[in-house]
Amino acid sequence: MRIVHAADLHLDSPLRGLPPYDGAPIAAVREATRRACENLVAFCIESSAAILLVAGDLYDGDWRDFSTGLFFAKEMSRLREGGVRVVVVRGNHDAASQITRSLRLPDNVRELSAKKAETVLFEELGVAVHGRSFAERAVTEDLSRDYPRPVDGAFNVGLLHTCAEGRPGHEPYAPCKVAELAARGYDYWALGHVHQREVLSREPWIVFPGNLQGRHVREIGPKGATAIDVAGGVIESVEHVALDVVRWAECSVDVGASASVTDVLDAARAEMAAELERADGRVLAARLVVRGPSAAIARVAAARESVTAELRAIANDLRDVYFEKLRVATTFSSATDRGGAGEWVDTLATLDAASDEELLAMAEGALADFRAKLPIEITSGEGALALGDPASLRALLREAQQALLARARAASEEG
Amino acid sequence: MRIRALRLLAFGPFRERTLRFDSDGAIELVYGPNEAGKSTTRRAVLGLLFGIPQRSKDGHSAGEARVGATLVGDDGRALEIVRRKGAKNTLLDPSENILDEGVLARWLGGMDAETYELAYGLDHEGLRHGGAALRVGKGQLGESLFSAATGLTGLHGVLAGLQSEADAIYRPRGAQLPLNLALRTFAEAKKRIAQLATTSDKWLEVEKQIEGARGELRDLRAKRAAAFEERERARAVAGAARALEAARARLAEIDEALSATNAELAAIDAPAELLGRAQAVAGLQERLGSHRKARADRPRIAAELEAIEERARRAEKGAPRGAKTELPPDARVRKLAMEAERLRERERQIESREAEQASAIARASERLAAMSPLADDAALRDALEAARREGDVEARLDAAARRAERDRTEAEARARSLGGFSGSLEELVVLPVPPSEVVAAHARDAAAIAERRRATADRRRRLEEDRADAERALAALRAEGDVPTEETLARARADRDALWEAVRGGSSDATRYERAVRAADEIADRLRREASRVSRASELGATSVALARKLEIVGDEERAIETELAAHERAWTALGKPSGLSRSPEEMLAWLARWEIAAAAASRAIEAGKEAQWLASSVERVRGPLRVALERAGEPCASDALSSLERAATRALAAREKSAKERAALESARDAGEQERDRIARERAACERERATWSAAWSACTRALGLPDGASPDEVTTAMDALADLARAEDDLEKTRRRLDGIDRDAARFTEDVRAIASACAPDLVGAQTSIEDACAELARRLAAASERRARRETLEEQQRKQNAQAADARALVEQR
Repeated sequence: MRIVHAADLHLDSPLRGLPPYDGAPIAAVREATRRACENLVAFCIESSAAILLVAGDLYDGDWRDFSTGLFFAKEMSRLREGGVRVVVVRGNHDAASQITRSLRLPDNVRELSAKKAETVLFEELGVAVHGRSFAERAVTEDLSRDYPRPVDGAFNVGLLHTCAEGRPGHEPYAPCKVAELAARGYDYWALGHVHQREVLSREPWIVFPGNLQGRHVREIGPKGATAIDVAGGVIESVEHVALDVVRWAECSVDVGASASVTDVLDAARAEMAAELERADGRVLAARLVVRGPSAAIARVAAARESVTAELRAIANDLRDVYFEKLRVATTFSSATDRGGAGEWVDTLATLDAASDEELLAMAEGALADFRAKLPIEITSGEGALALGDPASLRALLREAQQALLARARAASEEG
Repeated sequence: MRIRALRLLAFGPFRERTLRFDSDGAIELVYGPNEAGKSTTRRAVLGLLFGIPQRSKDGHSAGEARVGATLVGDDGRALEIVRRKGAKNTLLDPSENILDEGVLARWLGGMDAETYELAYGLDHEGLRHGGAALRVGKGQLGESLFSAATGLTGLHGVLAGLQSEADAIYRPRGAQLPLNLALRTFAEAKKRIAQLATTSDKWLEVEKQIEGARGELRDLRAKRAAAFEERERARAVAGAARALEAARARLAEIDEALSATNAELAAIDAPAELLGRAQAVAGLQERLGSHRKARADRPRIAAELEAIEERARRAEKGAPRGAKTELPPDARVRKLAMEAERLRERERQIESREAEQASAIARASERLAAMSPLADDAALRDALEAARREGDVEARLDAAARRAERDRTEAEARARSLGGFSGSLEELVVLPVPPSEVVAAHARDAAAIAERRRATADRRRRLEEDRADAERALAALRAEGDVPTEETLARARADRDALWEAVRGGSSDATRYERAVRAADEIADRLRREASRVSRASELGATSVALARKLEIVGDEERAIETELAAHERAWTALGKPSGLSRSPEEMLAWLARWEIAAAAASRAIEAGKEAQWLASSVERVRGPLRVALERAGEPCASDALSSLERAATRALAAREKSAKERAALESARDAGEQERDRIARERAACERERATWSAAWSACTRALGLPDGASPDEVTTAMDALADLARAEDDLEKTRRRLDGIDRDAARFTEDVRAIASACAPDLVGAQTSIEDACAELARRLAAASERRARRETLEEQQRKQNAQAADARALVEQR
């Protein structure tokens, strides 16, 4: 018997950070989350899965277009025709979603209650699924505490949307302790919410399958669902299945001080080609980070626009590559990269701008007006440009320090 | 710019206090205890250069604050200024005239007060402030401090670069900058998404509307179904009422119709007797037509009978009297008549063709007889063919003869110029000359021998000269005095030793011995003293001997050379003998070269001569037979040239060929004519046989017809026609008589049948008043009327049944209602 465990579908959530440019495979990324969902359904049907578990976040919370819900309902109907049972819990996004409230799903789909934890028992399969939906966006209590006792003689699965013991970049909702989950006596914990695939435990299995489709450059690598094969109430295998249609990658190129722009482009092409190969026929959304000593980085940074254009051309040439953007990062090796600019550069280099509270306050003040102009999509949520958040500001300051340092060095070397 | 002197004219605690800074480039340090006025002085400088602030408390108790200074520029120029506190026109020259601020600004290089403060006016507070500014990278203060601290230039450039980059991306009030644009685009896109999105509320609302509409639709459909039902029921009721009314009316109608039917039925009378014989009456009607026709035809047929009888009489008159009863078939007679015609035509054709062929044969024979007899031209043809095979042999002969003549002339000229030869060309070619290689070898050998001889002679001469020289020198040497030699010394010593022995033996006296000893010693001394002469003499002696020996060897060589030379000359003489030529090898070589050319020319001349001869014999070989053949053929040729003979032969042969063709054509025409004549003769025989056969058959016919044997086909045909007419007339007569009898018989039977039926069914028709035909027609009419009445009765009876049934139904219906 096969059970498929997926989470964080975020249907119709846009793939972010991909600028429109001539030749970009825009069509491929436009409905990527839907295509990934179709892949999931097809996989369930083709591999004769008995149950599909969805551990929350079907939709983006602020997405209001009901056609997204209708799409999901249609896909669930396909599963019904394929004889696949579906159990869903609502995540924080679903709880906030207008769609969830109004959508009627086919009868093969069981959405678990938000009021209290409940159990769905599939007697013919010998499987018991326990779970509880989010009632509202911000659930801060440990939902797993009141999950029912395991059903004797059945294969017991806990379906839970949770940040577990807290994960950076994820809202700290429905926190729980891995040890307590393990102690619950279930055979498998199907978690959702954390977009990075992670196996928290193997005795019993506690798994975040990650989201179905990466949506920005911080969600890199294969994305998909987890296939659990159970025989005689015992897990035989737990495997990750890649179901994404667009693969995110951060290509990194380290260059020497004498590297020319052409060298950088050559290395970037090789790097992107390698990533594309790994993407296994999917469209690759790639960011390029060029690291190196200030001299080389200054050359690249000075020609940033033309280099970006060249990189887009390379992406077009490789086909199926969507070039996200170019980032440059100066690497400092204190001994070799002083650049003779003088003592002040060392001072600036060693200055801990990020931990200077006064500076932080100043930066926050300086950016307040600008922040007010930015849309909420940029200033909040995962991967946000959170100008009001001290941690983000510190990171920005660190970055600014590096950038300034690189420029100052370049300027002084020229001078 | 430097400040050379600062005059605190009236500033703070100072009055007319001058500080001089004369050290020219060195750092000037002004120091003092607290409250001495250092900061005040600094403020005074600031005030001097940029104006004394209105709020300043540095005014002097004696009056308004005033500071003066002597400034020296980098170029050494000096400027005297005074600054007073005030709102405007505060910069003065020493004479209190107002100075333009611009003058001082130029001296300051555009520096403003803040920059000055940062760069030169640092105090404790300022340093702290500047440090903080530095950390946030803000303002000129930070930059200046930063620069001052590090000596780094261009930070401003970096900052300005960053600022301009930032400005190019976004400005709070920018409209077209990328980030501004992007933000706007984003906001618009968001708005559009909101517009385009189908919210769940809207979806549910629409769904609810659809559900409501569906319910309404269901209600309306139910209502419509009920209305339909009601209408159907109403329609049924209304229909029933109408039907009852109609049924009643119909019943009345039916009853009425029924009574009418009954009345009509009662009135109908149909005679059963007549109707029982309906078939017989119908049969009579059918026969009535033919009866009438027969009656109408009878007179015409009777007239016909008479005409036939007349025709028979006429035919009988025209027919031959003695004709047999069994006549030959008409077709055969006619065929024979036609055959006669055909035979005649064929006989005429045969005759005309016979005449035609006879005349053609005669014409051909006549022309053949007129032609000359056929001659055998094989000999002429062969001779001509042989001549042609040779080609244009005469021209070739001509060319060969000329070439032979030319070659011979040339060869003879060459033979003559050869010298030493007087024979024929043929002899010249086969002259037994030695091969030039052999001659050349001889020449080389002779030259080598001569060379060696000369070399040997030279050597002998040199050797003899050398020996003469050596002997002359030796003689000269000896002429100078005898030359002691080792031999003379040895001899002297031998003499001495002998004398010593003699002395010891007492055989000689000591004097001699002493002389001998002295002589030997003298010789030995001279040998030592005249060593060079001695060695020269011995050398010359040895040389002379050696040269004599060499001369002997040379003598041997000379003899050997002479022997070789003699042998060589003998060989040469032997070589030249056969050709009878005696020349030196060199001459012989030159002669041989000329001979080779002459011999080649002679060969060519001989060959050419042979060629010409051969060609001449070829011409003769073919010309003789050709001439003879022409003469024999009776075509003698005036010219004896081969070409003329060939042309004559060709012409003669062409003429003969033409004549032969004509003859052949004539002969074939004659033969064809003869063949045709034979064929016609065979045809005539066949034709005659047919004629005999025909005559026999014809005679049989004429006899059968009772005609004489010689009756012509026309006579026979006429007789035949007459006999046939007679037979046909008799036949027609018989037929017509039978027809008349039949008509009469049918008429009698018909009359009888009509009377029989009439007497049974219509006795009124039996009588003399009514003709039989009218009676028959009347019977038919009466039967038709009776049939009609019977049919009507049957219809009425059917109607009566139906009306009864309808009446019953209608009555039942009405009662039911």
